[in-house]
Amino acid sequence: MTSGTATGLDARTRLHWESAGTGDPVLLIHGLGLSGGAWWRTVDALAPSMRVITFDHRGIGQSASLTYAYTTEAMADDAVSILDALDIDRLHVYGFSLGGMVAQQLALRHPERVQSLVLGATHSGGRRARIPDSEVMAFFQRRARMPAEEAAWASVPFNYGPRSQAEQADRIAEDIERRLANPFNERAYRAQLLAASLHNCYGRLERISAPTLVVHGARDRIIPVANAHMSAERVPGAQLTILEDAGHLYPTEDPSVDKAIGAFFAAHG
Amino acid sequence: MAIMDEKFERAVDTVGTAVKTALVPWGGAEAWVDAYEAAIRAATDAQLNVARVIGVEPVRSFVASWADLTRDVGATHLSGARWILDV
Repeated sequence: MTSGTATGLDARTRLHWESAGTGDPVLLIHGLGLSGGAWWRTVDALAPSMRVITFDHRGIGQSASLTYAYTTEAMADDAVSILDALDIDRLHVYGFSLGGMVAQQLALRHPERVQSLVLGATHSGGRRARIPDSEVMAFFQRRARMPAEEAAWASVPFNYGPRSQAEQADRIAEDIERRLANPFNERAYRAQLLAASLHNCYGRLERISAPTLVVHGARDRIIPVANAHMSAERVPGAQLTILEDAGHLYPTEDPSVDKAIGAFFAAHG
Repeated sequence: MAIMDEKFERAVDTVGTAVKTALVPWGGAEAWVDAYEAAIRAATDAQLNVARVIGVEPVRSFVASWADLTRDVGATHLSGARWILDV
């Protein structure tokens, strides 16, 4: 594995990236408040056949900047800074949750850089997006003030489906252990919440030209599955995979999905 | 959406419909929003190009940060406009 830092023109933005494996490159864009390290399961699954690049958003993990990223447009431009630093013109992109919103912006703002696109557990924003129930919304607001370990455990009922909570306690514990390895930045988290709130690509999804796969857990409480159906209908030619038993963090709950996503990238290499 | 009360939603619909109707003779609401987005990107890119040419700190950092601000304020306008107009 190699790692490095992409430096912004403002001389204060430093974006930490890591690269594992060789082959066609893929950029993984993670979700709310998480570092690039949260992709560890997917990196392990894809790196045997691909070059897998992860990074930390501004203010998260080892990345820093003068300001946090308050829009998904800013986060997409940061992702392009990573590609420029790595001298990669075009690659596969896989965004998860908030990262999926960033991936949509990347495909719309920089279509020449995106070979194919996977939108995992995400939504397109706008008035038609299906929002989570009030219990989930209240938790998001409360979470920023909770101690990291308490927040990680309190989020389990929202992040995972009922089957996983009953049968995969060890995998959930592994996730939390990894998550706690990185310090939680409350201000960056709030900035990312704002970015997610402002995100609005609904009207432009039909302009996405990259081959697209939409993946979603049917039991997702954080981003209801109706959003996946909506996105798949609007992105031209998009494929849709619904994981019947999975909740929001489906890569933990259904390990086979990473192989299917790898096959999608291989088919569009 | 559940977070909006019905009155507010109706008001937003009314405003959106009125603006869309008013803009029909000039190419439609979507074309205006797209043109605004293109203008924001052009302004942002121009400032970033200036920052690249300027080698002197802290001027370069200031111009680059201003470019980020232009993009993000513009993105916020665009998000709101698209939300109201539903485009």
